[in-house]
Amino acid sequence: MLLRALRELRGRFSRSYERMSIQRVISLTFTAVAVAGALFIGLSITLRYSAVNQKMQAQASQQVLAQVNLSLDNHLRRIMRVSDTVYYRLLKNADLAEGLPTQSLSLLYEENRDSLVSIAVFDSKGQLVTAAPLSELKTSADPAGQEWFSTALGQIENVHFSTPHVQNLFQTADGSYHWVISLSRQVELTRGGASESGVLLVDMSFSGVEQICRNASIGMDGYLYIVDANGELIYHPRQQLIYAGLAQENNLEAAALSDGTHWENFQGERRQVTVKTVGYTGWKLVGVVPVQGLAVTTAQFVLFAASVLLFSIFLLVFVNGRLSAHIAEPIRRLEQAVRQTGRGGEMPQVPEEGCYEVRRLEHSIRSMVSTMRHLMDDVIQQEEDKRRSELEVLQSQINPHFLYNTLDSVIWLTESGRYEDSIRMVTALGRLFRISLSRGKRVIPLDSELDHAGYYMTIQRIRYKNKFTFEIIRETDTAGLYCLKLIIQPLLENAIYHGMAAEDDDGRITVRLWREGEDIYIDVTDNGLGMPPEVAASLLDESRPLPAKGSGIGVRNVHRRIQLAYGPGYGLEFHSEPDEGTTARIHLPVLTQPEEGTGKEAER
Amino acid sequence: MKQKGYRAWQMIVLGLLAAAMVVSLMIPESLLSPPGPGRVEISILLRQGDSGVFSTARQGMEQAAEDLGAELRFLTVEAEGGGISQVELLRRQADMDVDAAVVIPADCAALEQLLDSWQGLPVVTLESRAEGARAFVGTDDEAVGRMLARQVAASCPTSGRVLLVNAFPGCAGPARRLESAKAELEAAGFAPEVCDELMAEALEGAAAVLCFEPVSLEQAAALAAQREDRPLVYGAGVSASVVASLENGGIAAAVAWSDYAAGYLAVSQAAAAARGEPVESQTLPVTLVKEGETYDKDHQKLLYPVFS
Repeated sequence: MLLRALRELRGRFSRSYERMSIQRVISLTFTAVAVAGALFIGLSITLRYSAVNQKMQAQASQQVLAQVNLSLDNHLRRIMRVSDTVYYRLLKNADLAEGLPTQSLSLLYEENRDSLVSIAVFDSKGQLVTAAPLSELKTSADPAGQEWFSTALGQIENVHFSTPHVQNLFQTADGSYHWVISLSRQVELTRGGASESGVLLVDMSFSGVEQICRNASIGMDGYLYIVDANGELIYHPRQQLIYAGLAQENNLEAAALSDGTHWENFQGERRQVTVKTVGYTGWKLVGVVPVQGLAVTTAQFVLFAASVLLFSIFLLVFVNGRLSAHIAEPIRRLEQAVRQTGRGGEMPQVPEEGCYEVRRLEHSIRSMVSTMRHLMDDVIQQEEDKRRSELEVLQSQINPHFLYNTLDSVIWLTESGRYEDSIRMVTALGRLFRISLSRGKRVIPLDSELDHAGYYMTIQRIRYKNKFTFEIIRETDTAGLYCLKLIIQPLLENAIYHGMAAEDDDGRITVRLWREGEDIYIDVTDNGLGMPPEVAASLLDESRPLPAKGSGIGVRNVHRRIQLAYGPGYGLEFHSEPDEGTTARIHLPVLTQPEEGTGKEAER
Repeated sequence: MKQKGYRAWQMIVLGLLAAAMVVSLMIPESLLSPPGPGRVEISILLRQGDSGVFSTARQGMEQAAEDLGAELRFLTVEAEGGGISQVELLRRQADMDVDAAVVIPADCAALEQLLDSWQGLPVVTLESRAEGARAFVGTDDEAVGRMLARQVAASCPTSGRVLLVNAFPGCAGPARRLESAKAELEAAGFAPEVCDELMAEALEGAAAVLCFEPVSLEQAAALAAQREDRPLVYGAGVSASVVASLENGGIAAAVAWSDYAAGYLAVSQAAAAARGEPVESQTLPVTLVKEGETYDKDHQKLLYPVFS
């Protein structure tokens, strides 16, 4: 199926290709190759750009995370310094039995109140030792039962950061509450010289962390959140929405990710996730950039790339069109010249331009056309010569035949003492030959042709002892007209041999001529034996053998000469009925010039 | 001539494409972002005395407004029992070409009368359902009433006097809770009393007091705290005062839900209605919080909103 479709496509392409001009082929080929190249390069650049863009976005996210990490680290270190100060400066040096460092604690709190909610010290049983700024525990408060307390005592070598929670230790006057992150550690307390374990709690305000993270901007729609090692949310820009169940975050998955950039699909959205662990807390900063956010930058690039591509394609089409026209124009002009020459015109002068091959081709064609024209002229000349020689041969066929008969008659007259008739015959013969020669002209005045006929009939009447009469009748004015010479005489000869031979003394031969428009008709009529019409119609048939007796060849010669000279529309016709005689009609064009009819007509 | 015209066109197209190429570099990125929905104006019609109680809901509403491109206008009915005033206020909002309204009905009957075949503006109700409103955001009132009644039944003898406070008789939501609780209590053998106005004297001899919205619950907790024979106070809905009373035992138990979520959903439904998008009523999940449980991890997130 596919192969057939491919074959059909290839066939269509081949057919289209065969119909295309060379300019279009060059233009399309150049454009196709250039566009393919441009697309390939464009695609490569796009893919590369896309990869670089994503990499840059990942780097940008990492930089933002690093910055937030630094700020967060500073913030947490500040809180830890408070914790250290309380422990090493106040608690280490104090004996609880002698008095509590409440004032110093309050001062320390006041110095850091923008970040802190409270500082408190508890003994190992969870009893409050000292606190700032509030010192009255809620009646429901149970410090020892809280996670930060047990963790501090359980892992004494570390400081511990809790997840955000509402502080529920101290009684507030206005019933307000604080979301805090608790930093707790195990401390050694001295009471009456005896050392005992306790817990130092520094509750930092959640808003401190929130302020650090809130203004961090990643990409167009990106954001940052913090989770602890268990995936519990520490901070999220939509924290309350998540708590209210109106939004979700992929925090549990993110907690398991290593530092670096990752890709995830969450709620049908593909996102670039960058993770950075916050040093000693075990928290993870997670930067999220939805792919759609990246796509805005990509869309701008795609728009630019599309416009560049469109511009490039159009420019290529334009340039290739001009270029191919420049290359193909000389070929096209040459082709037009050849076509014009083929229609029979002269090959026009083609300006010499174009590349080497085209110039050489033009020279070759011009040379070839010139050679062909010479050859054709030669062929035409040869044809003309051949026709002339054929005509001359046909004409020359008359003379020996007639001469033989006439001379035979002159001999006979002289021998019988009819010198006067002999003289008349020889005189007529001489004039006859004079007209026959006509200085080599083939076309002579019609009057001369009629004279020629008259001389001929003079000779024949002497020969045949005036057994027949002869008359020339001009029905219309034919003065000044011309015709092929020696066209009437063979018909007279034919009339004499076939019409008059059997007559007694009442034979009659009439030559009647008239003009009809541009045609001349000459009828040679005898009142002889005649012949059946079908025999008369076949007299000029070249395929039929000549009659055994007579000069049928002369009639056919006349017919052929006329047709060779003037075309198939002219020539001879025979009309005959047995015992009623025969009429041979000559049909000629009107010639008013001596050489008319020997040019174009003769070539037909 | 034709050839020249053709070339001129080619040059023009080339010029245009070159210009497009330059312009594509200069287009600001914001133009490539799909345009967000247009801003809509939404009026929030609160009852008298609701402002404090609905502060958390208000935060949710403002968050939704920020997310969805809405502009909020908070309006409170000035007069007591202002069902009619609220309806008039709503009518005025329509006249002012406000796009949608979120209403906490003061008088459901009056509101339903207005909304019946009213084309003024789409209305989303909070707390109480109203016929004709496009959507409702609130709790399953019957379930809330039953939960409270069961708490009373579990902690009081059936002979004890149980007071059901009907502070907003015009509000369908609290009224449905009350009716549900009453039916449940009666089924359990109690003879609950319904009072429209909570006075200190009314608490005398009461074993339990049930309130069905946070305003009367605050009042009941305050009145009960003044008495030596302190009745057990139960209620629906939370406020800062209610949470404090839950913490210190002033309230025995309360059915809580996220007002933040309620506010957020109400505004998001109203914004959708204003834009001609489909809307649907939202039923909020509820949690029973007993005295002393306010700091449980999950309850913290519900009762103490995280606001910076």
